[in-house]
Amino acid sequence: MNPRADRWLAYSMILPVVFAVLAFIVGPTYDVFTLSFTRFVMGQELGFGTLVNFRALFSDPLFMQVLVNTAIWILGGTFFCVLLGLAIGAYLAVDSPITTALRALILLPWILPDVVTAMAWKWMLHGQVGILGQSLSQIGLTDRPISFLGDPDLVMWTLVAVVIWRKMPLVALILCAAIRSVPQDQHEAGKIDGANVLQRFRFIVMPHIAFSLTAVTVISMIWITAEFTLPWVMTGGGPANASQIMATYIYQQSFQFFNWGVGAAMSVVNLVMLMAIVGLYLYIMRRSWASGAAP
Amino acid sequence: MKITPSRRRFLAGSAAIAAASAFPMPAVRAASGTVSVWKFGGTPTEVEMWPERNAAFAAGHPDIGLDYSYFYGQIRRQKILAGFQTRRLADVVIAFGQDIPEFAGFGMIQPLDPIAGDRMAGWKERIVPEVLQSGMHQGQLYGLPTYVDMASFLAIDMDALNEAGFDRPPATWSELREYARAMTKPDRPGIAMPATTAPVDINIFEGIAYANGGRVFDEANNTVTLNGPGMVDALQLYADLIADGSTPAGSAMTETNFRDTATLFSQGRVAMWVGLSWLNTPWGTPDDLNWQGTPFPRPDTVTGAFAPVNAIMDPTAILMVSARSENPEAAIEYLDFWSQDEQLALWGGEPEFARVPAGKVAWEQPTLAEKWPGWVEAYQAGTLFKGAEPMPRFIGVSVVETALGNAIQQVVLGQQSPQEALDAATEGAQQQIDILRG
Amino acid sequence: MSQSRPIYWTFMTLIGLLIAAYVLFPIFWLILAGFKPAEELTQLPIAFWPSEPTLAAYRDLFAPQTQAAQLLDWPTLISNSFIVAVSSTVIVVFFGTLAGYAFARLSFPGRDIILGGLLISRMFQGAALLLPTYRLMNAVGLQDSLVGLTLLYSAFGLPFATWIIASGLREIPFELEESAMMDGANRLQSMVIIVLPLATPALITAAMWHFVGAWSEFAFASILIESLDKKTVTIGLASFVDYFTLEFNRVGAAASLVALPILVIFFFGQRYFTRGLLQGAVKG
Repeated sequence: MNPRADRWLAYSMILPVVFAVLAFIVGPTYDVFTLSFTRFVMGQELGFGTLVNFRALFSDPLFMQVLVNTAIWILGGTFFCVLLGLAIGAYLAVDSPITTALRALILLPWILPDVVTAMAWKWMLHGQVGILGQSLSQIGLTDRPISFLGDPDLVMWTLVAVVIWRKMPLVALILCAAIRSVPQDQHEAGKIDGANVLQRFRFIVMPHIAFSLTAVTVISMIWITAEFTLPWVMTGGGPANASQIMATYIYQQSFQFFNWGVGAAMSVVNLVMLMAIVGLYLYIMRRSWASGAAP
Repeated sequence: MKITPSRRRFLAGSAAIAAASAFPMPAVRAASGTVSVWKFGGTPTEVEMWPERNAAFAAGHPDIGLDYSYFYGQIRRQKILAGFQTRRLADVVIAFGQDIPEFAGFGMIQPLDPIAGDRMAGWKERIVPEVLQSGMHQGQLYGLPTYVDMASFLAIDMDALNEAGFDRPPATWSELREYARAMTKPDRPGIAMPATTAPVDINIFEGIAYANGGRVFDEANNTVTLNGPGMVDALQLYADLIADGSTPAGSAMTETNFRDTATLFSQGRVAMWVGLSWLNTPWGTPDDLNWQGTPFPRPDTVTGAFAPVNAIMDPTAILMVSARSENPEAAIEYLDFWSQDEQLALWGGEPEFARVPAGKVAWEQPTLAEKWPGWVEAYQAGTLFKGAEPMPRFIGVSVVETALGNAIQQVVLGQQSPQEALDAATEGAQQQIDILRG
Repeated sequence: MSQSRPIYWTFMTLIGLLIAAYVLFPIFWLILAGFKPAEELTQLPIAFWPSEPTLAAYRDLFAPQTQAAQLLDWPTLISNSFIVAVSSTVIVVFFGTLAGYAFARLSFPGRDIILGGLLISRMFQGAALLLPTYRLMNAVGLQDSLVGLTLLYSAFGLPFATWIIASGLREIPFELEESAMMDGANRLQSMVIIVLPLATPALITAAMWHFVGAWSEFAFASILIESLDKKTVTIGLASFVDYFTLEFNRVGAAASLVALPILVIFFFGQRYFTRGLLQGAVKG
């Protein structure tokens, strides 16, 4: 085969995708970068090349809290999404009628539109008019209704639980598939060596699915980061900013306050941090990432 | 207007149109071309009747192409902003009175005085002056209101009130505390205040604080005044009601917005709730519930530095004209259509009775008097709008109201005292607003 | 794993039921709401089963006197969403296959970096890009159009679809393709005749993935679409849950209807979907 010709063929084949991403994603992203260095007063542009938006952002007392909440949202969300996905994936990998049925049904949360998911959960979780509150007190687990979305100590983790509900099924299915692809003879060999279930999981399954784990971790993180509708519709950042995260605060600054310079600056900070986290993660996991890469 | 043929058939055949065609149409002037209209949210009845009346407009103005779009209420500001930035703002935007200073200040909308011509005389004639006033900004009219929402009101379960040994609604804050305590039973708090981040929940509090001489912003000095005594003491009332044990738990109220609070009330799970003038919206309130709506009780002594108001109000469906409209004549024609009695009457209890109507004609509808006798009496006595001020409106209003909402939640949750929470809110909001206003 | 002790199976079943409760209850609750009369939704204590199951909410969606049908012509909404989802899926699968093939089976400078960059670009979305995207769509005259929405969704979906397809294609032995080319087929021919049929699970996975995403997108559709006749199902669903109207019976009914096409697709594609995911994530 002719490598030179292949090279040109390859570039022309990826051209449409690269162009689409450049136009629709990188273009607007560039726009946001420009905005973040532009000063706005009363909605009018007052010149490019200023750090006023970034200064405003870092002197905003709320910003620290937003960072902490965002860390819970993204890191906590990703961690538990993958952990639960792994546990459920391992469970689903077992052959039985109930797992077969669950493997088919588990994707249902994923097909429900975001707005509906958010409203339905908000409705169910409401301490006083929701079914969950009522059921919990009927069973006698709680003596008074719990306000999952009104209690500042619970709200962030409640949101995390909902986003996991939405994203975990795919993670579980992917990991289930990965676990099932572990060759049977390796299991047998492990058994012969006297390894128990947990040891076999740790020393045979885990290395085999290491790449899949890395991949779903990165993908979950990307999903949860891009998720905006769920937190916005469910709490709007409340109560008392206890669930204010980057995504909702950017929206609030840009569209409620019309402070879009600050909103853009926050988007930039957000992106830089995320790229750092993902880069770091990929660096740490470089061996498993590389082992899965193409020949 | 873009409507599907089947819808057109339905609309043409609907009783509403038949009734409307009995009214003579106003003389059509030479306006032509197209006019685009954006409407955001609204009560269910309103959302349904708006396109119905649009069909009547289209029928009466064959030369004007009407392009009506309805949007999800909560994207109002982002949609209008996006439209403005891309020079695609609709000719007529139906938004809030609270939006006017920002929209005017950013150059999004234009004053109506220069373009309305002799139409304005008719508007002044048909619209209640106090309501028309709510469309004014810096001495000029920027919008045509169709109704207003007023704050704040109290819904009372009269059976619970009688049971607690009272025979009239509470009139002062201290009475309210006493009533709320007396009306509280296990599992049935005396009063609930909605306290989510929803703007309406914040407006409800503002209505109470403004009646105590509080204000959120001092336009003349460009200062946020959230921590003035009028505001702080009003928030102290919330804190006191909670400390008295007369309310649901704080964390329950921060997740319970005005609609949820109404639901609790209609289920008999709170004896009173605080809301805007649309207390009477059919929130699933059962017919056998013996309840009454009254203005929110007054402070015993006004502690704020500003003039106490009787109520605050905002036209939440006010028609504005884009500054870049290429066809202001057609836009005015559309505004004028909505200023006609047959449209204004729609808020007179038939079909919609949840709004305070703008049209004089609506106040004469027997259906309104039947639904809401208190309003009509006060209107006829000339006291309904007396001492009423607009809801906060200035450039940066959203910044300040958001900070206020946050402070309310902190106090309701017992995290901070009203003074602490409002001091912090003032400082934060001032910083934000200085960036916005330069 | 072949334990057959009864304790083991009881344990397994219990876990299964627990997972099912967490994952399926909210959906079940929403579907139930669709069959309840409106009054029952605010009743106390909350009735679990509809006392008198009714199809009223479903009828309301199509009855012209209701708000539901006044604003939202559900047949139009559904067909619009369908047009957008199907056409962007076709675009995504077509171009994703081209690019995926290049990434998987050809070697060229910058390959891994470009693929990684594509994936990461997906991260910078959501709230921050709403306004710039709106401006871009206006600048190119694609606002308020289903074509614009289709192209936008395609751009959003392409990176991930490319990645899934590339992963699937890597699994196919090079020897098969090489022998075809020995027999005189050129690269494109061998790709279409030999490789793609073997990559069907990956293609189906990418297609289903994208279809669901495009079918349920709300934020961009809600700001880009203005005309009544171009609205999509998610905009329709959202209008039941505005501040003043919270009609969960209609939400339940509409959501069930909206989910139905996807369910049908999944019913047929599920086998491939799982296999495609397997290929994608086991060997990236």
